Amino acid sequence: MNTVLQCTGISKTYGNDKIKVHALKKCSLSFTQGEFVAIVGKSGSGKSTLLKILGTLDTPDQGEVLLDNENVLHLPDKKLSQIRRRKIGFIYQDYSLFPEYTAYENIIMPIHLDGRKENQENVLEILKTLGILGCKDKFPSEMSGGEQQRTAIARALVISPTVILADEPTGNLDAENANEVVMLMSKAARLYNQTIIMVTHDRQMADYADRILVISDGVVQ
Amino acid sequence: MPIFLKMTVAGIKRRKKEMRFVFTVTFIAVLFMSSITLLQNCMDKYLIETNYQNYGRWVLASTKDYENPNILFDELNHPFFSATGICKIAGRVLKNDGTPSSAYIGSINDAFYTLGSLTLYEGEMPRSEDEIAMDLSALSRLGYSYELGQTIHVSVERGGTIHKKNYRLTGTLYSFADNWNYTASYRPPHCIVTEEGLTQLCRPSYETHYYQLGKDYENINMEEFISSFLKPHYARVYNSYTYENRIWGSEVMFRAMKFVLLLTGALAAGYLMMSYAAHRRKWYYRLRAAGADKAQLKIIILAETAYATVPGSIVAILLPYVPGILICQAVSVKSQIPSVFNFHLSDLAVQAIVALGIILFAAVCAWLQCRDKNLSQNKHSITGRSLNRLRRDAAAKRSAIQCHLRREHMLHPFQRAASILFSCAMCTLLVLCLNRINQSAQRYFQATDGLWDFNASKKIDLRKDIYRKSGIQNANVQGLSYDMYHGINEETKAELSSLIGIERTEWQTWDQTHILQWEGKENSLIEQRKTEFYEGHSHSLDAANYWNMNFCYFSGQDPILRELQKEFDISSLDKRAFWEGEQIIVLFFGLYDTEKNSLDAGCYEKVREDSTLKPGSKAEIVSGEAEYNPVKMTGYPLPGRTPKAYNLPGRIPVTVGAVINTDSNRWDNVLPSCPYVILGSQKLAARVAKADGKIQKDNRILINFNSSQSFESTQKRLASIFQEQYMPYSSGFEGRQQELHQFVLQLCIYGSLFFIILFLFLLLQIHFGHLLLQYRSKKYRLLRQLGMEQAKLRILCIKESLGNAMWMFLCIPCCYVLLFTKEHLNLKYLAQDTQTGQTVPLNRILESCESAARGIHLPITVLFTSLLIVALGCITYLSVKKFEEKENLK
Repeated sequence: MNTVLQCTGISKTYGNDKIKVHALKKCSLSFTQGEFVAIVGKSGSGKSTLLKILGTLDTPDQGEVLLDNENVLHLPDKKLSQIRRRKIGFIYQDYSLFPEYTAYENIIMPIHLDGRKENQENVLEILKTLGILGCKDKFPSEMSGGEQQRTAIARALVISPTVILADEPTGNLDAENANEVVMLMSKAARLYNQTIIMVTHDRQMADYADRILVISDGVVQ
Repeated sequence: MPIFLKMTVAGIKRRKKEMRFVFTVTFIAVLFMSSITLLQNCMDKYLIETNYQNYGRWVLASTKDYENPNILFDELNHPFFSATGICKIAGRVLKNDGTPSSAYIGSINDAFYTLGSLTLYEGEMPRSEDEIAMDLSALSRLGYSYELGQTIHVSVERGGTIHKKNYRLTGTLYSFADNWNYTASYRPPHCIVTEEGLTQLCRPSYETHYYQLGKDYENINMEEFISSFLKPHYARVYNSYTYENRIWGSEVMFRAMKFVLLLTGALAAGYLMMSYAAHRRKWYYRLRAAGADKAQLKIIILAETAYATVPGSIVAILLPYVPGILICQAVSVKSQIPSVFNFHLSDLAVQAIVALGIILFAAVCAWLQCRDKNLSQNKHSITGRSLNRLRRDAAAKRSAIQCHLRREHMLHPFQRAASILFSCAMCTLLVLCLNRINQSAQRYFQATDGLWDFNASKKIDLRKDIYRKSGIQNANVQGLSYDMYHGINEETKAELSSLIGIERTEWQTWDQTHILQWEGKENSLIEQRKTEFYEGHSHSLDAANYWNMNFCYFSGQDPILRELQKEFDISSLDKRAFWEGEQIIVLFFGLYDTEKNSLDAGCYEKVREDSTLKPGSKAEIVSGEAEYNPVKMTGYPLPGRTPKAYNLPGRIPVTVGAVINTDSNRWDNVLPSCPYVILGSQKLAARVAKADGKIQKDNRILINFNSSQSFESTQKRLASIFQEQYMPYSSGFEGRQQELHQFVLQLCIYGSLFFIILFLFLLLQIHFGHLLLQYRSKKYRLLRQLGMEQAKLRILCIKESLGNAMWMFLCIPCCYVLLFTKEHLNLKYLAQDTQTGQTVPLNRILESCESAARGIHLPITVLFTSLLIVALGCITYLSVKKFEEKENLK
């Protein structure tokens, strides 16, 4: 299988001269295409920091991140933004939808930011797959939590990214909705051959993944 | 301390930065308000002290006329009056030739010396009956030097008898009496003798009592107070020069300034507290959820607001008093006037109340933001109404940035409207201030442009001369006119050239004894109106009092052409031909006329059209009487009475090089004020003189003093030279100083207001921009995560900021509307006041529009507004950049 995302020896420290928190300590990981990986760990173990660095939203103090064999850490903003628009999809615990846009508009937002026109059929198919076709014209405030999270997943899927990064996507959902969302993510990964990296502290959710990585005190075990 | 108060204090301590900002805003607003109040009080006091020095420390003068029993007199004993100065006047002192001068002689009491603010130039006041003190202008007028000890021969005419007495000059006084507000008949004395000295000369013809107002009553409603004293049959005069010349006492203007500052301060503090509260709604919600009741929440908000605003207000109220006292002391010492520091406890109380108002307003704003409804919903951004708006907009296809901006506006329409309104209001105020500064500057430059330090002219009484020659003796008509053959003699010229302290001298020849003739002149509207008027007054001497043409001949060094070129199109003029005396420039200043029988000022329709004279027209300069036609009423306008003294043979053909129609009063200091002004060169004057067989003479001199020398002695010498020559003269130096004073004053008032508002506005815009970015940080972070480029995010923010700022252009029509309303209300008030009717006629409304339009300098306004918009764009750019660094959005 192809390695799509790889990080080598990444370290990250927060704080000042007096107080230093080592969020990540020389982590090296690699992810292959179509793989569903769960990263589990306690609060403050460095899960979200790792995800931010993998998603090019933060830079490590040391190490390198390779996406499709390209070191993305020293790329200019324009190139990095393009990578985020085309190769990385994000899913968050709080859904992070724009309240003033409909579900459909939220989903096509990354495509529009890329200056392209959406393929309407493709979007509708994703909506149908995720079971939110009826919510197409609804605003986030008119949808349930589960529907909002599915919209967020649809937004991540619509650009056909190489990697989807999910930061505790089920944290705000009830058990039933949480299972459903994770199953959908797993299904989508297989269907569209996309790599999904999910950060969670829920062991039950992690069980849906192909591979589980445990992170503790900034070290991946 | 209750637990929630402890929490409040702890919260405040942790939010020091926010609190410091509210502190600063409140501090600035209150500081400027208290500073303006103090400045106004002190400047008003300073001005009134200066007025006392110039126009006397009296409020009312009442005259007892010994020779006119119809004039009633009562001694006034009002409790507001603190002293009474009495002067007894014998009458006008006669000049050497036996004609009465404008200097009066009389005696004064001690109180008059104080309340008259009399200042000795040299020597002392008279003590014995043979001593006299005179003011400097009286000495000059009567032909005496300023030397003390000389004998002054005083003659006064009374009932046909001339009373004479010699006095010894013991003191000279700075001129005071001519500055005062007096009636023509009852002037204070220019020559002061003792009471015995006056009795020995002759008995007084009148005595005037000057009443001084007690210090505690200087700020009473003077109009109301004085009106009870001013009665018919009494010769009473109110010293309006002192008590109404108080621009710093204008309550309305300063109240408006304070109101504007306070409104800005209150709105700013309120908006800030509201924003902070909105930021902390979750915190308040949790507090409510934990069991805090509404009253506790209110106390917390009030405590936070008080913490942020009270110390700032107290410091701001008290701070200006320290430099205020020091500056006032320095001014008093330098100007030798009593201390002008003016402290009113009531002002302090008003400032405290107003500051309290700001605090309460800010607290109410904060409280409104965290009412229970807002807290429980916790998603105030989306309402049913805004959803509908957004749904309608979702149908349209737009670019990501465009769509984002539209949605943001739809989501927060009131916030945006409030921001636009605030910007527009501030910009309107700034533009009004800027235009007032521009107007003041224009007025100053207009008033001083072409104003020489000193000017004198040789005129002759042409009309009297004509009447005398035609056998009409003692004609009651007088009118000094320019005659190019009666000018300044060579001796005077030589004397003037030997004077030191003169930087530049300009000689000119003006002439009113010639007229310009051209084909079709009788069809000119101005000429027609003039003829109608003369026909209506054919048997009246008044007709002669109106001259409608004035020739001005300039030397090649005069900058007149350059000045004209700046304002008018004179491209048709051949300058060489002009200086060679072949071409002329004709300026139409127009003719006031509404009634056929009056050509004087006071009529408001100006006739300025003359289509009969165009560039290239051929014309002739002829002697005033040469073309006299009793039927057509052309030429010299005195049918049957002219001795043909001004009928000279010269006829000089000239070409009209340029014709200028203007209504501008910018030329008042440079050119004569009459319907037609004909400009030519000195060579043309020489041609005219040659044709008439006469010798042309300069009859106007313009002098600029050397600024490095003391001008006073030069001015005195010039005055005496021109007095000897019977030449009217005037000094522009004092006028310029006065204009400068007015300009600086306006600059101080409107400039300070402008910078205060601008400073507050920019400060608030920076902070509001910062708050907005904080609100949207999550959204912007998400956009970046979804792949929006940094540059695009900046463009988004700048576009939004500029989009809102562009509305500031609305301030231009707003300014016009405001000025029009002001002008219209003034006119309406005047119309009602003069009982000319309740409605304002259309032409007056148009006049208001014109006046409003004149009040705004459009290019400056547009430029300033554009600059302000650009500045806001830059501020947004810098804020976004800082925000990106802070939020690690790079």
